[in-house]
Amino acid sequence: MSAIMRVEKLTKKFGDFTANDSIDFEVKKGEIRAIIGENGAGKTTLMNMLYGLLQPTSGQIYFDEKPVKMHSPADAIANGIGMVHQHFKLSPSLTVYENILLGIEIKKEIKLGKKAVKLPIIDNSTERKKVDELIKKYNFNLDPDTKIRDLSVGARQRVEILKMLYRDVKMLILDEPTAVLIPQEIDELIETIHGLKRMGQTVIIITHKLEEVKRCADTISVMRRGRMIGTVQNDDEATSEKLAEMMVGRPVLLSVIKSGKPVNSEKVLYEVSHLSGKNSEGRMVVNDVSFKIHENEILGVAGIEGNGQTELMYLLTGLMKPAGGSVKINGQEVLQMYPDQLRKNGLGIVPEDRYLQGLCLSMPVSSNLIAGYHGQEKFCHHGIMDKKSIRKNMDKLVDEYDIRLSKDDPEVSQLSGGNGQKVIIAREFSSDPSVLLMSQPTRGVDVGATAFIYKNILRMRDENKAILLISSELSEVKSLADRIIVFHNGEIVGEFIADEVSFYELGLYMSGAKSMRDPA
Amino acid sequence: MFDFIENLLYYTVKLSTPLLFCTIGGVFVQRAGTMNFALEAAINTSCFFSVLFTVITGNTFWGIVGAFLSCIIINAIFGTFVVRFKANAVLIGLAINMLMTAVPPYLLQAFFDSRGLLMATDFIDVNKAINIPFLDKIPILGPMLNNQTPLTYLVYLVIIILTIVYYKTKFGVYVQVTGENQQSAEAVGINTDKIKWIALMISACCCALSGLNLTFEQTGSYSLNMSAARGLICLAAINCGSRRPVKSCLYALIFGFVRALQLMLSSFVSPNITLILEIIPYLTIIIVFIITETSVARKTTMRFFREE
Amino acid sequence: MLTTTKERICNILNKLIPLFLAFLVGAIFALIIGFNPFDVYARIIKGGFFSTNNLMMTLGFACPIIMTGIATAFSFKAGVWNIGIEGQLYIGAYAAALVGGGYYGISSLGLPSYIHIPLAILTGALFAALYALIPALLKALLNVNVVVSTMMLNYIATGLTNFMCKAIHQGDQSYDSTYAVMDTAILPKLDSRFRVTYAIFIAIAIVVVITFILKRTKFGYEVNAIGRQLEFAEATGMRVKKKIIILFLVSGVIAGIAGATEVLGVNKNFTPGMSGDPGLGWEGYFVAVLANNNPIAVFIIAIIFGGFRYGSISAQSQIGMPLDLLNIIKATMILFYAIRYFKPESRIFNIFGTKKTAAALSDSKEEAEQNV
Repeated sequence: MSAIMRVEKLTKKFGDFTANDSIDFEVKKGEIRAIIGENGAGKTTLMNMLYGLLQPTSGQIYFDEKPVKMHSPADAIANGIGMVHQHFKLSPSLTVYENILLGIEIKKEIKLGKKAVKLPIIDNSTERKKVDELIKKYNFNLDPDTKIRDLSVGARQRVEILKMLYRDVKMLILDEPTAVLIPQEIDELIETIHGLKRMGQTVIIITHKLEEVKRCADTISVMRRGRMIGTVQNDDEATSEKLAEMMVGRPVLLSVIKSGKPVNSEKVLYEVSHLSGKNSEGRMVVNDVSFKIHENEILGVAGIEGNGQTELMYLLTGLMKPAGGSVKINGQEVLQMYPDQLRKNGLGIVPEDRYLQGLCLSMPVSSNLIAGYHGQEKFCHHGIMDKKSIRKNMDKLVDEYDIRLSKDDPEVSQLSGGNGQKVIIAREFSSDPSVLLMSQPTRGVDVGATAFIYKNILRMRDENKAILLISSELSEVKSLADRIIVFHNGEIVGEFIADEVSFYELGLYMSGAKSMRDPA
Repeated sequence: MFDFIENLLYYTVKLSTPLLFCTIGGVFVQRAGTMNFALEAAINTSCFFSVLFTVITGNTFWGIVGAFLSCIIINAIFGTFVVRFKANAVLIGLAINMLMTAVPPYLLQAFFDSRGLLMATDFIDVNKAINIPFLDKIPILGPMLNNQTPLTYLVYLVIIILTIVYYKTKFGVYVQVTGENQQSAEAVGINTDKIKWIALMISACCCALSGLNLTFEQTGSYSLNMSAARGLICLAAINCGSRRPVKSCLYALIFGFVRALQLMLSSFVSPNITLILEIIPYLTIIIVFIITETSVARKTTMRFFREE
Repeated sequence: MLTTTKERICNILNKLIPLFLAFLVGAIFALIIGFNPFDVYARIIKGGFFSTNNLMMTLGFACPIIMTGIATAFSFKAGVWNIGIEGQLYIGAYAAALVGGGYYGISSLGLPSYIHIPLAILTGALFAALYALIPALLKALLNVNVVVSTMMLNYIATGLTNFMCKAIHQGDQSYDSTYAVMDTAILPKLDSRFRVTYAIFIAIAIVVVITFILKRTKFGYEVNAIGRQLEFAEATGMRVKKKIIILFLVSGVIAGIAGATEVLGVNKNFTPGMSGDPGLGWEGYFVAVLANNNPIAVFIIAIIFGGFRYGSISAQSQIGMPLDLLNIIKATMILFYAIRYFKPESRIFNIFGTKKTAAALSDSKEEAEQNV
C-alpha cells in the first residue's frame, strides 16, 4: 500500500518553546493509525498543523505524494483531510443536516425559461435528502431533523464524522474520540471506524488511552515531549506496559495500591437525602438523589457527562439553588449554604472546571493557594491580609505537594495542567476538611501528576475523611472508589461495591439500559 | 379622546422609524457576538454628515451620500478595532460614541460659528408625507399608516427583507452560528471576521437611514447629540428581543410608542413639566429590563453569573 | 511577581503609542480648521502646567476628576462596567446644593461651618450612593446589563436635576439654578486666587484609602478576584452579588463627594450644566481606563487631564481653539489604548502579525503550557 500522507521534519515553536520537534512519519492508505502520548506530548499541535489550524515553523507535509500547505481547516478539507475535535464544533440550535452542510449550503434553484437560476435562499429539503442518503450509506443511527442539543454525545460525534465524510475527505483525524463515551458507545465507535476502513478511509486516532488503541489500530505511533518516539505494529508484542513506557519514558505502574483500611461504616460523615435541583430551563437535572458517605470511604460517581453530575456538584458546593432535599456534614444541615460557609463547616471542594472555578488564571500561585480560605484568621486579621503568612503557606504547600514553579510565585496561567490541579489539591487537602468533594480530579493531567493525586486521595481516605469522587474516567472511579453510584438523567440508577462490578455492567447502567429504579 | 389615540398611533409609527432601522441592522452585529455600543455614534454621525454635506453642496443627494459614507466609516473604525484587533467592544463602542459627540460641535464651531445647531431647511423639505387616498377609509389603521414619510414605509420593507436574510440565507445562518459557537463556524472554513464585517456594514447602512429619517424627514437640521440615546435604546430593544429580528423590532416599537406618548402628553402640560417627561423613555427601558430580566432571574437556579 | 525587561518595555510602549496616535489625530483635526497643532499643544501644556499659578488652577480642575476616576476605577477593578458616575455625581451635587443652599429650613438652623460643610458633603454622598444602589440591585438581583442601566440612569439624573432647576427652582435665582450656597457651607479654597479647595485633601485621602483597600485588605483581594474571574470568585465563596452592591455604594459615595465638593467649593450653586463637557464623570472614565484602574495612576493622570482642561481654556481664550479638540483627543486615546501593540511573547508588531484563529491559538497555548 502506498503512503497517503508523509510528514518530513515538521517543527512547531511557540516562542522559545518547541511543541513539535522535527517530526517524521508516514500513514498508509486505508490503515487505522493511532497516535498516542501523554497530555502535552505535542499530539494536538501536530494534528492542528495537519488540519491547517497551525502553520509549521519548518518542515513539509505531503499528501497523496504532493507537498501541501494549509492555512485553514478549509484548505485541509479541500486537500482531503478531515478532523473531528475532542470538543465538538457543532451549533446546538441547528439541526443535524444544517450542521453537516454548514459552510456548503445548497441554494434553491428555480427554472426561468430554460435557465436554472440560483436563489440566495437555502434549499432545506434537498439538504435533508442528501444527508439522509449519506446516513443510509454509512448506516449511521441518526435522524437528520434532530437538533444537536437534543443528541447524545455519541450521536454528536457521528454527526461530526458525517460532516467530514460529506466533504469527501480521504483521511479522517479523530482527536481523543473516546474521552466522553461510555463503554458501549466506544464499542460502537470502533465498529464505525472499522466500517470506514472497509470503505477505504484512512483514519488517524489521537488518544492517550491505550486500551482502545489496542482494540482498533493497525499501527501505533508514540509521541513524547514533542518528538516522535517510534511507530510499532499493533501486535502481541506491543503490550500496554510497553506502550506506556514509551509514552512516559520510564516504566510506569498502571495500577493503584490501596491500603486496605476498612470503611468505618459506623460513622456517616456526609449524608445527602432526596436532593433535587432544576436548571434554568426548569428541567429537573438532579432528581431525588440520596447517598451516604462514611468515614474512610470513597464514593465514586459514574455516569456519562451531562447526566446531572455537574449540577450535583453545583448543588453540593452551594453554587446552585436546590429544589428540595437535605445535605448534612457530620449531622449538621448545610443545604442552603454558600461556598464560604461550607468550607467553614469542613468541606473541601475540587471543582470540575479547573480554569473557571478552581483557579484564577491571572492571579499568582500564592493568592490561589488561599482562595476560599482567605478570610480565615490564619491569613487575615480584621479584614487585612497577612502577606507573610500567605507567603509561608505557599512555600509550605509548594514543597509538600511538589508543585513545580518556573519562577517565584508566577501567575497560575503559566503552570501546566498537572501543576494547576496540584494547587487546588494542595489548597483543599491542607485545610483538613472532614468531607472532600472532587470532580474530574485528573482531567488533562499528565501521568506523573495523576499518580501523585491518586496517592493523595487515598491518603486522605485513610486519614478518616469521607470523599465523593465524580469522574468521567470510568477506570479512575472503579480503581479508587469503595462504592460506586451511577448517574443517569439526574438520577441514581445503580449502586455497587467497586470491586464486585464489571465495566460492562456499569456501562449498561450509565447508558440507561438498566436501572435499579426499574420495576424488576 | 379618539383624536388623541389616532395621533398617538400615528406618532408611534413615525417616531419608531429611526429606532426600527437601527434595531434591524444592529440585530446582525449583536447576533454575530459583538456588543456594539457605537450604534449611538452611527446615528449621530449620519444626522450630522447628512446635514453638513447638504449645506456644503446645497444638494440633498450629497447629504445622503454623506450619511452612508460616514456611517460606514464609523462602523469600519469599530470593526478595525474590535474585529481585527480583538479590542474590548464596550470600551471601543463608548470611545467612538464620545468621539462622535465631540467632532460635530468642533467642526460646527470652527466653520459655522455655532456649536450646537446647523440648519439646512433651505435645502431640505421635511414635508415628505405620502398621501395614500384609499387608506383613509380604514378606521384607525388608515390615519395611523397614511401620510407617513417614504423611509417609514421603507423600513417595513427592510425589516421583511432582512428577516428573510436572517433566517433563510447562508449569511443569516452564518451570523447565527458565529454568535452561538464561533469555533464551529471556523471549523468548516467560515471566515467569522468576514461575517462580522458584513453585519457591521448592514448595520452601518441601517443607521445611515435612521439618521436620514431624523434629519431629512423630521427636523431638517442638526442639533447637538440629536440621536438622543436612540442607539442605546435600540441596543436595549435588541437585548430584550433576544437578538431576534422580529421580536427586537417589536420592542423598538414599544420604545417608539413611549416616545410618542411623551410627545403627546407634552402638549397638555406646561413647558416646565415637559422636562420631567423627557426622562420617560429612559425610565421605560429600565422598567422593560426589570420586567424581562425578572422572568429570567426567577427561573435561574445558578447562584453565580456566567459571563456571556 | 517578576516581570522581564521585555515585558516592561512592551508595557511602556503599549501605553505611549496611544498617546502619540491620539495627539496625531488631534493634530490632523487642528490642521483641518487651520490651527498649527504645535502651537495649540504648546499653549495647552504651558497653560496647564508651566507656572505655579497654572498648576494650582490645574489642581482645582483635577480634584473632582481624581475622585470620579477613583470611583470608576474601583468598579472597573471588579469588572463591573459602572459608567454611572456622571449621574451619581449629579444627584450628589444636587443634594449637597440643597443642604448647602439652606433649603428645607436648614438656613434657619444657624449651623456653624464645621457642621454645615460635612453635613452637605455627607448628604451628597448618601444620595449618590442611594442612586448607585439602583443599578447595583438591578445587576445583583436581575443581572441587568450594567452599561445600559447606568447609562440610562445618567440620562435620568441629568433630566431630573434639569427639571428641578428649571421648574422648581426657577425663581430662586436669576437663571436656572438653586440658591447660592450659604457662607457657612462654602468649602474654603487653599488660596482665594485659585480654583483648588480643601477638597483636594479629601481626594488624596480617597486615593490612599482605596489603594490600601485594594492592595492589603480581604475586600481588595476579593475585588481583584471578582474582576479577573467571576466564577472562581463565587466558587471560592466571595458572595459576588453582595460585593457588587458594596462596590456600587462605595463608588456612589465617592462620586457624591466629588459632586458635593464641586458645588460647595467651586460653583457655589447647582446648575444643570455644572459638570461641563464632557462631564466630570466621563473624565473619570477616561482617566480610569488609561490608568488601568490603578489608583495611583488615576491620581497622576487625573492631574494631567485637569491640566489639559485648564490649558485648553487658555488656548481657547488666546487663539479661539474650540474646546472640543481636547475631547476628540481623549476619545481617540481610549480608542487606541484598547489595542496591545506589542506583546512580550511574540516580538512582532501585533498589527502586522499573522492572523490565527482564536481556537487554534488557545489550543496550542494550552498545550505549550502543559509542557513547561
